[in-house]
Amino acid sequence: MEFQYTDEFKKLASQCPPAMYSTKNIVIFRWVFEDIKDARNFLPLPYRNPKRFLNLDDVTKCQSFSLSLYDTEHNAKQQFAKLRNKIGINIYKTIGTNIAKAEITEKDGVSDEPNATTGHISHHFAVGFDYEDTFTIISNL
Amino acid sequence: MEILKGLKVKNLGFIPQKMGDLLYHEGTLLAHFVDANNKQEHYLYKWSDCNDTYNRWLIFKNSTKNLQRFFDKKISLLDLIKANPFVFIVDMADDLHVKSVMIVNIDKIPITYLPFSDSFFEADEYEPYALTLQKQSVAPNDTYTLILSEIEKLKIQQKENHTLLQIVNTRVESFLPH
Repeated sequence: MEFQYTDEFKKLASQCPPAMYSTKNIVIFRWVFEDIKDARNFLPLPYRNPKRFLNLDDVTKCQSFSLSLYDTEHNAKQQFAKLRNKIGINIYKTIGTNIAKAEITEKDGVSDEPNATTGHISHHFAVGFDYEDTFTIISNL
Repeated sequence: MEILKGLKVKNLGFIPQKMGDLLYHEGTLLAHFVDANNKQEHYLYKWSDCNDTYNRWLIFKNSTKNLQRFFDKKISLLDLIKANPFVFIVDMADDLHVKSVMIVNIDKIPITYLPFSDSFFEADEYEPYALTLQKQSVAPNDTYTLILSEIEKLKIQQKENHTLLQIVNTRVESFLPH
């Protein structure tokens, strides 16, 4: 499978995506801005401007090319609320305002297992994955 | 971004050295820094605002004692910020390129920049580095504690010197003619 940002992965000393990541057929949820076509919605950290610090080691750098997803809408909302309580109400300006849902299949990339507590998933998408066609906004954060 | 009331300054007055991320979501949201010239001086950088060009960071100093109280859930992240009379508000482009630095009185910080009152530490909601810092903050490494520790060492050394002097005196006396 060919992944997005493969050329960047080749510059890293460690394997990217990690060997433990696997293909899945799952329904996933992501924090997005209200217009699904917003350029910020599906750009990994290294391609965003302005960035929130980038002095990363190779393992973290690999992860920075993945996108953060959640396994349920409930977890997506709950984790956002927890982060908002710590950072402040302005968090909407950098994280997003809505939840988008998508059904992804084995051909769409690889991910780690959902975190047992938070439901967080890191996913490296395959080349050709169409974000705007696959993700649909379903609720506000 | 909000227009702030504060004092513009040229720089932070310390050399920031990033130690680790405490909160992270597709980039840093809360990070621990120290002064590269004085690693006992702890600072937290909390993301607070942004526009198309800059991220705005709220930077505040922390004593080891307060960090320990935060990790012990005795005070919240909000309390940790409010323990300072003022904070730095810094606009930065990518990485650590600083555009502007402002000193802002604690009462003048926009409410949208502050954590909620229930922002207590929960280990499973923080990055693994938080546990490293938690362990360090238990160790006595702030300036005040280090001074106390040095005083204790001096007291012990003084007692040892006194004992040694007594032994020497006793031996000298034994050689003196009665």
